[in-house]
Amino acid sequence: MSAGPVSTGSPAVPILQAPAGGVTVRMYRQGLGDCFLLAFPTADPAQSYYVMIDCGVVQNTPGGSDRLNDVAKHIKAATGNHIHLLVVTHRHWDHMAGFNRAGDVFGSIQIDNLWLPWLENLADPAAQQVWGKTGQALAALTAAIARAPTALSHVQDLLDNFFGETLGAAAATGAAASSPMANVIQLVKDPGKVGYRKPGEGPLALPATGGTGVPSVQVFVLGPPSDPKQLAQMDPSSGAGRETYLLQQGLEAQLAFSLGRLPMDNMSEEEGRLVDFSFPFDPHLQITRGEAENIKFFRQHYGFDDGAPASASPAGESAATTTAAGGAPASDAGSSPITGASGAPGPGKAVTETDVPTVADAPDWRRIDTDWTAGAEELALQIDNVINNTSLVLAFEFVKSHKVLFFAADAQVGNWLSWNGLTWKRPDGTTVSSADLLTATVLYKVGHHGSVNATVIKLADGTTPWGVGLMSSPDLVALLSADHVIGLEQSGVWHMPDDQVRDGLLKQTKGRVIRIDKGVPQPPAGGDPEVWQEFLRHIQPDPATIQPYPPGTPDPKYPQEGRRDAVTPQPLYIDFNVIE
Amino acid sequence: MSTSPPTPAIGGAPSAAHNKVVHELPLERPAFRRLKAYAFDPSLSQQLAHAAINEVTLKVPWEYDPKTGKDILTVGPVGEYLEVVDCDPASGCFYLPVDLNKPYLLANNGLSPAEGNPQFHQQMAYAVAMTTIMHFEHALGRRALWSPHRPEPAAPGDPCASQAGVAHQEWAYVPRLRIYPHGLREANAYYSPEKKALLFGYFPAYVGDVRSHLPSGMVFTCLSHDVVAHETTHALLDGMHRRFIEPTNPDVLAFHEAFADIVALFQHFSYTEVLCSQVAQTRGDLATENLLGQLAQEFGQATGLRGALRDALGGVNPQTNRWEPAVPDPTLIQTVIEPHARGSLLVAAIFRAFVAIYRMRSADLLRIATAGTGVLPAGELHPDLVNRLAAEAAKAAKHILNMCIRALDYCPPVDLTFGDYLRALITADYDLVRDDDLGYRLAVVEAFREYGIYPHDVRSLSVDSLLWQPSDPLSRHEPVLPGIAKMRQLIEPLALGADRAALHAQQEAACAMLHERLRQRVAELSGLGLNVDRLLRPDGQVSFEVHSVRPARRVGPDGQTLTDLVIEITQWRRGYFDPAIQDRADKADREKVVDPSLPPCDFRFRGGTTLLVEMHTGEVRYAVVKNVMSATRLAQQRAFRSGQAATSLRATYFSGLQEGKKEPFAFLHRFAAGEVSA
Repeated sequence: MSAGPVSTGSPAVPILQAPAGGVTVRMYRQGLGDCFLLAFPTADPAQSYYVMIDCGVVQNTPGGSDRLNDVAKHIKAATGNHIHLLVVTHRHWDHMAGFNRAGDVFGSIQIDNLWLPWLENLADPAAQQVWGKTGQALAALTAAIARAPTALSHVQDLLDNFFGETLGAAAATGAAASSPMANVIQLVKDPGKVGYRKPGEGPLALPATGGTGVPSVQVFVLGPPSDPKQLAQMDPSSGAGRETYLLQQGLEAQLAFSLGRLPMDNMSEEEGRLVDFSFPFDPHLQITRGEAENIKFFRQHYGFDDGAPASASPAGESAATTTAAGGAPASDAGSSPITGASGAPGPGKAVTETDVPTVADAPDWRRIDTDWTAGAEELALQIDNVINNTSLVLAFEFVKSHKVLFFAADAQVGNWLSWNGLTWKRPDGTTVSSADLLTATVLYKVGHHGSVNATVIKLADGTTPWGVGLMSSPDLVALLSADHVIGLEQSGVWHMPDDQVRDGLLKQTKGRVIRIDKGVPQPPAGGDPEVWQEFLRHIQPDPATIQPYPPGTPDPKYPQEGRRDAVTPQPLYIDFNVIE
Repeated sequence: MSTSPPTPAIGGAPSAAHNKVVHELPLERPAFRRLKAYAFDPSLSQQLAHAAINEVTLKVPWEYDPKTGKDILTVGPVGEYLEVVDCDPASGCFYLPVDLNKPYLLANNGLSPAEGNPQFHQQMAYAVAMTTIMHFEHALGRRALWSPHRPEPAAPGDPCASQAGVAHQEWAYVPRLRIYPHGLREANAYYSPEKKALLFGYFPAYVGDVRSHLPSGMVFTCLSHDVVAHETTHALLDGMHRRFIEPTNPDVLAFHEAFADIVALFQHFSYTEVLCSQVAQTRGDLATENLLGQLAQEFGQATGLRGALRDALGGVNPQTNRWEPAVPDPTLIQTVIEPHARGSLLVAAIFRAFVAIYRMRSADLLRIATAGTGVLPAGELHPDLVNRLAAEAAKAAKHILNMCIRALDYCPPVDLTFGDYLRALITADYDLVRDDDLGYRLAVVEAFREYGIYPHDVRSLSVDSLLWQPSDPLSRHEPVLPGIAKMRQLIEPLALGADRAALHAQQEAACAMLHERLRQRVAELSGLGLNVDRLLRPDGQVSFEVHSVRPARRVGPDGQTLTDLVIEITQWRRGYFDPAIQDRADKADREKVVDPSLPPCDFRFRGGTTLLVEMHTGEVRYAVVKNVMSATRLAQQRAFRSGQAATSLRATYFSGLQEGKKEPFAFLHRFAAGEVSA
């Protein structure tokens, strides 16, 4: 899909100039994904300091790749080919696809520093453990999908969207070379300039390069948590790590087992043993599906899709198995009532009239061929959750006014709750807590595209305000990187943003929620016009425009979300200025 | 030439010389088939202290066709109620079905317990499930039916879409519940209302759990007595109340879980030999009722799947190092929402009532044994005393189990709460045993009160005010329901022993007949708790359903057995999360117009009534009402449903998957095992 006439890289793209005593936060509108460019003033009025946070879009976005290239070229031009600090919050495709799809463009930009969450430091044993388990889980999941591709198509979709071309690397474990972040890390020439940020660090100055520092701002690191249990927490109501696969002991056996991981050629002896043990009974007690299709009892009481003997089965290989098995269990049973009076019919032998099961005996709605895959769905959600929780969460604080820009990346419940209790000492000797930072937030980058479990308003006790529940500034503005229609188009039908999160944010910000899919927001009914005028003074959409993505399928279930405007060309980005 | 004396014919033709016909006495059909099973689960067989009691021989009915007299249990086992099909798709294989009619197996009470033999697994799942079914049938006095199969789920996306073409009577009879002993590769087991099947999972034991399981050895949920009984109960309950799987308030799913736990738990107490052995082993703690709780907890431990239940009953006090029952906390019911944890409060309440009843039943025995001092002598208890105490415990357990099951006939058809269930328990027991001389009902009310469980629509918690009432006292003596005589003809002959397919057909026919008559004469339904205006929608849609018509047995005041009809009628209106849209929809309904601008509804808001009708007089003895017009209930349900929908990542990514495809119990049970290893 053509992304339209963006005059990228040409002089038509103006250099992004930071406002004096403030910051410009530019939200690109590439679809369901994050890409932010922040411009801070430096001592040199002609030179801004650029912080770029993430660049990606979910894989199943028609034309998404072209759009990412447009964005990359635009950033290149707007920064004068120089990014001082790149922040990549976590290894999900909707936050880093740009570095793969537009790798050439980014490779040609000078990038001085890179910040990643501590989990991307593969020399860290705790990180190794997390990625090792995630990798195994992904490998098992991939194998499960291969066995039941139709039943698990929505899970495949999820994986594609979040890993894109890095799925193979993510499913592999160990060596740094195979890290999905490899393409990102190599963008910085000096490995010493890659910082793996840990919670509790700060206040950090933005790393100065060539004498350009940003005296007006300091950064606090809140997440990802250092406790793996908190990484795993996904459900607001459950305790840390309670319902997770990824933390259980004996996980390797558990996963190989529960997803019926297939024996593979390059399997180690150890892995082979695990797979062997994952069968509940000795091999001589197992009847293959092909053999079962020839056994009267199973034809009558279970039934098979085509109702025909094994030779007609689509794979053809099950018939071969039956032949090869020869005198194995099925024919041992001989003339027992189990297999039928004259033994099992051989492959290709016509089924006699009396053998044909009646519908009442073996209707297909009673079969359980794919019920086991529900476990795979659950596992996919848990993997997604863990990776979201590895998000690097940063609070940018203005030194003078203590106003905060809060970038929550895709942090989910466990990440949010882990900030509780973090405190820092500012250079001026004052103490600041995570609660203070949340309270002082004036700009909130909404967690995980507005999904239900990524905007926390209370602590686990259900009463103490936390997270967004503390954000009480009257000037609060939210940046929401959601594209509702693209979400609906996914085969599982994603629901982003969540209705309650959206409505809660609209209320708390008095309508000042800037969304990727909606552009400049409309004033809320009954709002204060002066407040709105003041808000609009801080907004500046791209004067040039791009063609929108093609219109989505309308969904009667979410009429309030409307549809993408199919006609009007859209600005590529929206700038929002925060003044210190 | 001398003739040799005729050789006596044994088993052959009678000798012609004697010209005498030898008759073989006809063999009496066995009443029971004896089948071995684990009393708990295989892990106990590996513990010296428990190995001896871990094998029980269950007596399940000898299944035969009453019409032809032929035996019907075949390989599988496949019988009248159950079909065990051992298909293991996750492992990509099948296991041969067991033939319980093989002579060796008949002579040996079936296969001996063995983890490595799938055919024993099939046998045990069959035996425990049958035992559970029999408990239900004995308590209810009629044969158990599974919930019928609905050919097509309601249109996805619009819960209120018309289901034209899927008339009530077209719902298909499901003769047998299917059991898949190895259907899943995970720490999970569930009843699938969609497939009318029990799916049991198996999984490697956690490494942390070496005490009772071989590390990475296999745990089979189908070999846990409690899990099988629990899941079978889900299916039986669904067969009676198929709307109880709709989570319309925090109690509904919790009740499903609690009830399944109650049946599994008290079924254990009915195995007297297990009880005796435990009582003897723990040397007399039965005097203090702690032992029962401790036992119940150990039962739970063995199953490995019910962490919440164990905690609810009590625990070892770290200071005294002695087991102590949990002190009931009446505030928990306000805050605990998760279905298992909430359900465990109900289980704990029922269990408390059971302990109180046991105490009353055994008081005299203890007085005799202690010569009135109340202090038992040191050392082991006299075996006779052990037997008697265990017998009392077993009897009390049987009574309370019967009470709990019978109460199901007295529940509202939709939107059940624990408070409703308390009223159902009391009323059902009142109908069966008029004189409460042993104080069962008092014990139940007291236990529920201690857990803060009570109905909100009664004036006091006395037994009298908890009894259900007829909704309109004036209609008591009127044969208010049309066609009661006809219905009597349809229903009356059906009881234990009748053909289940015929029973189903007749109940369906009674439903259809009643439905048709009600359609024509809706006005006659006033006074029964139904909203007459809402029985038919302005667009012509029928918005009510005769949910079931079934017989229920009770004992009259003079000791004679009487039969009531239990009639459940449900109705619904469109429910919206947005109160403004709700008002528009209600207005359109009130004015009997069709408003095409209304969006599809968010959910069906159901109401209805359960009527207990005296079969011969047509007198409505009780009407258990859930008002479809109730604004309070609608507001509560709206809050509950919207809270339910939006708490997980699942809601974010898989919101569009067809509702009908989801397994309500699968998700509830999944991964609960993680709690055990912790």
